[in-house]
Amino acid sequence: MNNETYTEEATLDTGAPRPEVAAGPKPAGAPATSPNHVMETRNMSIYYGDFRAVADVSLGFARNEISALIGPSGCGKSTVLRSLNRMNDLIASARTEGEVHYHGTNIYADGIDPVRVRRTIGMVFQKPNPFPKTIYDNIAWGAKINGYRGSKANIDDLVQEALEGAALWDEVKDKLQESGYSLSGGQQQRLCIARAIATKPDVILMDEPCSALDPIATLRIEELMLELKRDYSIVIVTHNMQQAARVSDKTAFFNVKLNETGMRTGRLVEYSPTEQLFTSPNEKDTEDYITGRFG
Amino acid sequence: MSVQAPERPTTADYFPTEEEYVGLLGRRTRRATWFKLFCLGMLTIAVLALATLLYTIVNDSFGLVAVVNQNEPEDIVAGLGHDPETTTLGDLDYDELVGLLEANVSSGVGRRLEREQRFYEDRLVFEDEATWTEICSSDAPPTGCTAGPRDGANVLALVQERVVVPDVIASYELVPSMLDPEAFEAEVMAGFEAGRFPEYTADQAQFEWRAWFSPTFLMSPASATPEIAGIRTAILGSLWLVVITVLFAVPVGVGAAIYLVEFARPSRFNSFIQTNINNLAGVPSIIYGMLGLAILVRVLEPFTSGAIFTSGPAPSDNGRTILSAGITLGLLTLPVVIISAQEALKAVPDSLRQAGMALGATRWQTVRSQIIPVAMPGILTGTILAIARAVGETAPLILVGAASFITLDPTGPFSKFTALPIQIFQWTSFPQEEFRNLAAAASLALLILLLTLNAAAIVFRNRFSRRAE
Amino acid sequence: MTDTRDTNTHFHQELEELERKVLSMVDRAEQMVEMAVQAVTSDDTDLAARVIELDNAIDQTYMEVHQDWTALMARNQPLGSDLRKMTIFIQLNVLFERMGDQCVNIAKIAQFNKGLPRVQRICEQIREMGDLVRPMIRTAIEAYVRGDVDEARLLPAMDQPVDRLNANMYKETVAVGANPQLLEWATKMLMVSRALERIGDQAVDFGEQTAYLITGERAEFDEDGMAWSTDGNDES
Repeated sequence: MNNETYTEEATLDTGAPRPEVAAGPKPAGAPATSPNHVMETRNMSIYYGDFRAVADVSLGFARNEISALIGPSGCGKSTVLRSLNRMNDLIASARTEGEVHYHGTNIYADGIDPVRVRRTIGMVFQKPNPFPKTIYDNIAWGAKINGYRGSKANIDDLVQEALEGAALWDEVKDKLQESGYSLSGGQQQRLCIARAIATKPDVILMDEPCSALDPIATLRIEELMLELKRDYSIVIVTHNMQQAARVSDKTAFFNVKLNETGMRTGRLVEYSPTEQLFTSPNEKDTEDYITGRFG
Repeated sequence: MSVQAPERPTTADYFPTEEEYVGLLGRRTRRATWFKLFCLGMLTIAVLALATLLYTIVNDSFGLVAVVNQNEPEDIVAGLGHDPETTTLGDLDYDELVGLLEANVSSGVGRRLEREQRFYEDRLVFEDEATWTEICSSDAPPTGCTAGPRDGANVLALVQERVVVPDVIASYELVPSMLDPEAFEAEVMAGFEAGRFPEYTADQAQFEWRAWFSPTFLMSPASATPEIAGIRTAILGSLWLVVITVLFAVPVGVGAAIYLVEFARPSRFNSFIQTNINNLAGVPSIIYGMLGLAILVRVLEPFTSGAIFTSGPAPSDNGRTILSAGITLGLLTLPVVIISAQEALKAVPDSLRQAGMALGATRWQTVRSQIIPVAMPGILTGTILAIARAVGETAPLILVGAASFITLDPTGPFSKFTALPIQIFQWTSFPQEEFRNLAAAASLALLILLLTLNAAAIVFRNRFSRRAE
Repeated sequence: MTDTRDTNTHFHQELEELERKVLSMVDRAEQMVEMAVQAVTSDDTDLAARVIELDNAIDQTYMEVHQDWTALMARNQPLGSDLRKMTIFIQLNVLFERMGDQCVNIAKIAQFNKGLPRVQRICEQIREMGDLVRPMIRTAIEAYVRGDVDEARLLPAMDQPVDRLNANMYKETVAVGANPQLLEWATKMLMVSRALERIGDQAVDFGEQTAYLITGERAEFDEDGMAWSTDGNDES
C-alpha cells in the first residue's frame, strides 16, 4: 500500500507552502545552441566598475516569440535587456563578460560596431520618449540616418507602414505634421514602437513599456505585441507578473541575492514556458516570488 | 494579537493640543507674513536703485541750455543767399558746406582735416597735388590717402564745429527744465552778473531746449567740442566688437561644450579642464585685457594688424585693432558661453539620447538632430550673455588699445576703434558740465543698444524653441 | 504561521480562511457518515434528523465558499501554488457538498425505513462499509493537511473493498426473499450501499486533487496498482 514503484515522467518537486523538500538549484535555461534561437546569451556577466550586477546568465530567445524577464527590483533584468543591443556601452563604467550571440555571431566580439547591432535590435523604453519633432519626422529620422535611399514617396510609405504596424495609423494619419508630443501617453508609446520598427529590425527589446501607461493603453500595447510577434522576436522586461503571463511564451525569473562580500548580484533562477512557470514553477524562489511570499 | 492600552505616553501625546496649535498657528502665520514683507522690501530697494539710475541718466540727457553761437546758422544761410526761414544748415548742399569751411577755417586746420579724410574724390581743397602725392607715398601715409571721401553729415558736423562754433555755457536737467524753466534763465543771468561767462555778454545767450540724446547725436562722429559731439564711431565700434566676439566665442564655446558633454568620457583630465573653465569665468576682465595686449596686440601683431593678409602696406600699423579687441572680449566671454551651453545640453533629457542611439544612430547624428535643437534656447541664452558683456566691458578694451578719441568710422576688423563704454569713460573725466550731459546721453544709448540686442536674441531664441516643440 | 517575509499576508490569510471553511465541510461530512450509518442500521430516526440538520450547515458553508472564492479570485491574481489551491478549492467545495448530500440520502432512507424489519447481515455489511469509508476520508484529510502525496496514493487501494462490498450488496438484497416489507427495506439499503460507495469515490477524488496541488500535475489514480497517468481530468 505504500512506496510501490511506479513509473513517472519528470517528477517535479514543487515548493508547496507546507513543509517541503528543499529544491536544489537547477541549471536554468538551455545553454546549447538551438537553431530556433534568434539570440542567445552565454555565461554573460555584467559589471559596473567592480560591482557585479548580473552573474552568469545563459538564455536563448526563440524566433517570433515573446520572452519575458521578471524579478524583483535590482535583480538586473533591465541590465540584461540593455546588454542585448549593447546599450550598456553608453554607460562608461559598464563591462560585459561572456558572449551574446545574434544569429551565431557574438555581438561583443572585437570589431563589431554597436551602431550596426542597434539597427537590427531595436528598443522601446519605459517612459515614451518621442523626439521633439513631427510624427512624420519621428519615424522617418531613423530610416534616414541609416542611409535610406528612397524618395519622398517611399518615405511616406515607410511612415505609413510603420504606423500601421504599430496600430496607430488610423489615429494620426490626418495629423502627421503635428508634434509627437501632442499625442497621449499610450499613443506616444505606440509612436515609439512605430519608430523602432521603421528601421526593419529583427528583434525588439522592450523595457517595461507599459509601466507609465493607464490600463487601457497597456492592454492595447499588449495586443500589439501579440500581433508584432508574427514578424519580430520580442524580449520584454516587466515588473507586472500578470502582463508577463498574458503576453509571453517563455518567462525568465531573475533574483538578487547578497553574496559573501555583501554585493547584491542578480542571477537567472528559472527560464520556463510561461504557463508552467506561473502554475507550477521548478524553483522555490520562483514560487515564493510569484505568490508574494518574497521578503 | 491584541492591542493593549498604552501605559506610558505614546508619540502621539507630544503633539500640541487644539488650543496650543491655534496659538502656534497664529505666530507662524505672522512670521511668514513678516518674511514676505522683508523680501518685498528687498525687491523694492533693488527696483528703487535701478529706477534712480535710469532717472539720473534720462535727467541729464535732456533739458534747457544756454548757448552762444559764434556765427548764427541763420546768418550763415542768409549769407549764402537762402531764405533763413525755410532753409537750415542741414539743407545746404555738399559744395556749399565745403565752401563755408574753405572760407572760415585756417589753411593749417584745413590741411589737417583733408589729410584725415578727403573732401572730394577727384580734387583737393586745401592741399596742393604735389605735396599730396609726396606724403601719400611716404612710409607713413595719413589715413586720408586710403580712406574714402567725407560725406554730407561729416562735413555738416565740421561746419557746425568750425563755422557756427556753438558754445553751451550752461545746461539744466530735464525735470527742473519742465517744472521751472524761469529759474534756469534767472540762474544764467545771475551768472553773467557774477562774471562767470567773461567771453560773452548776456544778450548773446540764447535759451533753447536741447535733446542731448538725439538722432544727430547718434549719427555724429566724436568731436572735441561737446556741442557737436556724437557717438557714431563709438556705436559702430561696439557693433563691430559684438560681431567679432560672437563669431569667435559662440562656435568655439558651443563646440567645446558639445564635446565636453556628449563625447568626453569622465576622466581626471576632463575634470581638470572643467574646473579650469569654471574658474576662468570668474577671472577679472582686466586680466583678459592684459592677455589681449600681450598676445594679440604684440605677439600676434602680423595677424591682428592684417599684415599677413595683404602684400602691400598693412591695414593697421599696429595690433590695436578691432580684431584684437574682439578676440579679447571673445576670450573673456568664452567660459560663460561654454558653461551655459553645457547646462543647456545637460538639461536635455537623456531619454532622447537613448532613443536616438537605440535606432542605430551614431553619436554625432543623435547630437546634431535631436540634442542641439532642444538645447538651442539655452545655448542662445549664453550668446545673449556674451553680447551683453561685449557691449559693456571697458577695462580690457582700454588695455588693448581702444582709442579715446577717434573720429573715423571703423571700416573693417583691422581698423582703429573706440567703443561706447570707452567714450562714456572719457567724457566723464572731463570737467566741463556739458560732458556730463554727453556721458548721460551716451549711457542712455548704451542701455538702449543693449536692450535691443537682448530683445533680438530673445525673439530669435523663442522662435527656435517654438519650432522645436 | 505565515512567513514573516510574506508580502502578500492579506491574501494568504484569506486563503487560509477559505481553506479552513472547505476542510470544515469534509470534517463534518466524516461525522455525518458515522451518524448516518448508525441511524440507518439502528433504526434511529432522531439521529437521522440530526444528520439532515448538519447538512444544512454544509450547504450554508458551500454557498459561502463559493462567494468567497469568487471574490478572492476577482481581487487577487493568484499564481503558483496559490493558484493551484484556488483551483482545487472550488472542486472540493462541490465534492464535499455532495458528500453531505449522500449522507442525507442515507439519513432519509433511515427515516423511510422506520419500523420496517431489518436483516442482520445487511446491517453488518453496511456498518463495515461505513468503517472502511470513514478512514478513507480521514486519510484524505491527513494527506492534504500534511502535503503527503504518498498517503494520498493509498486511497485507491482503500476504495477497493468498498467497491467489492457494494457489488456484493445486490446479491444480499436478492437473497432477502419475497417478504414485501423486507424487500422494501433491503432495496432501500441497496441505495445506502450505493451512497457509501459514492462517498468512497469522492474521498479518492479528494486525494487526486491533493496530489495535483502538491505536484502540479493533473492525474487520475489508476484503479489498480496506484500508478497514475497524466491524462484526463477529475470526475466525481
